[in-house]
Amino acid sequence: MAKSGPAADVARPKNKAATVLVVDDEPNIVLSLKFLMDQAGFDVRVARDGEEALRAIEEQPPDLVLLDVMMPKKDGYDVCQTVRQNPAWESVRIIMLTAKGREVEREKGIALGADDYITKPFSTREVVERVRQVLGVNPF
Amino acid sequence: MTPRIFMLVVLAAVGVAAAAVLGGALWLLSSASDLPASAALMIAGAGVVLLFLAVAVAWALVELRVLRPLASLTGQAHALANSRAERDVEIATGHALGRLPETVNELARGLISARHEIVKAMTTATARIDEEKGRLEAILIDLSEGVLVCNLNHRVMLYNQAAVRLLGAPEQLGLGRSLFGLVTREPIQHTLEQLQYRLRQGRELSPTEHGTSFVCATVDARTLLQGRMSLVLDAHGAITGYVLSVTDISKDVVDLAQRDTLLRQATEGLRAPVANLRAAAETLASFPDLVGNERSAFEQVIFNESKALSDRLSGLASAYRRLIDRQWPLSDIYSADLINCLTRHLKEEAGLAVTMVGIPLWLHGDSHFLMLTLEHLIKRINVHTGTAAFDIEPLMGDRNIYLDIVWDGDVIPSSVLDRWLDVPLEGAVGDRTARQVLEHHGAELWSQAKRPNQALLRVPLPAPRRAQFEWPPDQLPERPEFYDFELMHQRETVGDIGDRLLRELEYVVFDTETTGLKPSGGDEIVSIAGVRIVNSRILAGETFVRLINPRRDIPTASSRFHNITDDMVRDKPPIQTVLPQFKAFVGDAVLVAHNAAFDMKFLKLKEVECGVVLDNPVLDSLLLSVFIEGEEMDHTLDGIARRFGVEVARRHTALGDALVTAGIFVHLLDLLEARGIRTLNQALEASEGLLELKRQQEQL
Repeated sequence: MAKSGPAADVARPKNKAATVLVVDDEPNIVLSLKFLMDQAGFDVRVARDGEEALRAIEEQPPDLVLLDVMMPKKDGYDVCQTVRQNPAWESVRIIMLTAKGREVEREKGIALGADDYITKPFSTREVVERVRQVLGVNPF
Repeated sequence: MTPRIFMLVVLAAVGVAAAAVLGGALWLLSSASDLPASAALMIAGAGVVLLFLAVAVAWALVELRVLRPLASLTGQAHALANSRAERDVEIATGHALGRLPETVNELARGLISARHEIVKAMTTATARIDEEKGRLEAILIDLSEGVLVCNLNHRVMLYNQAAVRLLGAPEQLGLGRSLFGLVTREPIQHTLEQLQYRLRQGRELSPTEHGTSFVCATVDARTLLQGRMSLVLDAHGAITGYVLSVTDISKDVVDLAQRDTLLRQATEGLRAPVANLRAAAETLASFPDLVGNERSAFEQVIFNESKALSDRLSGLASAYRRLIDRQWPLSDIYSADLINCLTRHLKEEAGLAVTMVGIPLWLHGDSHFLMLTLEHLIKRINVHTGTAAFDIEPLMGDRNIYLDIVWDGDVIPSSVLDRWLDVPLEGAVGDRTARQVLEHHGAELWSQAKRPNQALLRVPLPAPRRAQFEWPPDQLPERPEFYDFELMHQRETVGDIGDRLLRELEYVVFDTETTGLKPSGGDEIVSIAGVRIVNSRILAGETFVRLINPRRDIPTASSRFHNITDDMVRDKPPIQTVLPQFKAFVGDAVLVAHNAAFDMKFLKLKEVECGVVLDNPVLDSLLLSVFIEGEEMDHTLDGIARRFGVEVARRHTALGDALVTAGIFVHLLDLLEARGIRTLNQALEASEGLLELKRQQEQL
């Protein structure tokens, strides 16, 4: 698929692909999400745990973080909370990924400032759609 | 100059020189002395006669002793060199050639013996090749496995009868035909890449590594095949092709059943210890008063026999497990192969509609038993809920791949599910149950609600050994819309088919309807249709028509054009499902479309995520029409159809437009032939000429 892919939303200059940071400690998931996001026309970066994720965000805040909850070192809730405490990162969208399908987990994620929430196992097609939705990339 | 003429010229020159010297000497003599002129003339005359005689004698000697033997020797040597004659050269004695004839004879003998050795070596080699060929043929005929040898273009070079039987498509199987007319592409290509990669790593391959196993499906989705691929290398270690052996998995099940029986017979051996145990227990029961040594002897029997029994049982259990594991290695399976087979079986056997949704994923499992298990479960859900339509979508989890079977209706209570799992699977030999299959996969399934009035059954399965997605070698370059100059270089890649007559080729004429005109700008396909042309005849019965969910809204302007609305595609499969089906329909046929670059651009952009490659030759009816009639005419479908008298119906539907294009294309075939364009390469060349013109126009 062409890199020039999605029509840019208002906040970004035209023709510049949105950046997505994929954070997960499962190599299979990271590789697959990286591929899917790239094919959907996004610029993709990856991090393997919470600390690495925060370093990556500090370095260059992405437009969206696909954030796994269960991770070593710093879990996804911690990362989400840290990002939301920093006003400079206000525009960073966060989608939480977790194997826990319980309603209370969803509420906790949203309460900590996540924009959306996807339970594992996930439909690869749905992940791409949700990322586009949250980024307001319509709807391609 | 022959030796004889050469000698004549030399002798003549010597004679003239001698006469000149003689004449000169006489003249000097006569002027220096008073010898009378008549005496001088006489001396001169005698000298000339003597000189002539000397030359004649010399000539005769050279002729007899050199020239004739040399000519004879030359003739015989020539005969020896150019025929199969096996004798020495013979020269009459008294020649002056020295050892030349003997030397020629030595050479001749060397030549003859070398010839003998070559003939002998060739005979041995031919015999060995014949023997090997005979042996190979005998092995291939006897094999119950289907064997196919293919080159790197996936063309079949050799196959056996078992392959014809297993692949079930004799009309598709032929020397030089594509393997992908028979089996699905993904697993074959992936396995080949894996083996190529191993070889490139430069690792010394052990015999087991030379081949690798995989599971694929026949293109008609009737049979799942377990296959094994080995590379064919040339003398320099370069890959020239591969050998595939395939077995119908259900046949192996019969073998397994036989082993099962053997195992059962082995368990018969358990009877003796059980009888001993029973006897000891009965004795103890009948004689409650037994005490001391007598009692402890019986207790010892019970202890020993029960220990022996439990050892034996655990030994058998582990032997059984080893057997099963060896017989049933799990392999990577493409979910689309599995689900397509399932769809077909359930439609034919139970009239149930199973739709594959989502993006296909790889998983790791025993394809045959997985299919039986899924079939069993779906049939049960059908009986339990009355639902006859199901969606199956593969999901990705941390360590598993999940298959979600989705239906409109209620969740299945776990107690009911539990009962289903213990019923022996239909068609499975050895009374295997779904529970055993799931245990073998380390899986446990459950049912849950998806949304109100919609439920799902989730089957977790092992993740594949391979990477889930493969990156394309290169990102597609940005291309100008509508005129795809890449299509200018088709002749370099079409291969042998390029020389075939246009009349004899098979075509699929197709058309797409889209959300808009910008394939790279987010527009998507909403419908695709194709019709087959064979022997210049449109096979109206062989069509392919699909609506596609574009996963985006369809602009009203586009809907007004093709009458396809969001509502119509909501429940339709995505392009990831449809494009592989389209490719299967197309096979090796030449693709034809009106303004083909536009449609091809949409399709090409989807190749990677759909896991298909549309590398068929492409002809554009618009370009060919411009070639025939010149640029100034109206080359819209309607315009050409009017001029050619092609009937136009249901314009602006994919199938309607494909049929109109097909009608036009059949006329174009006649007109092209009249212009001397007979082969595919000639037609491509004509198109390329026009594309080149377009390119120059664009650059101006």
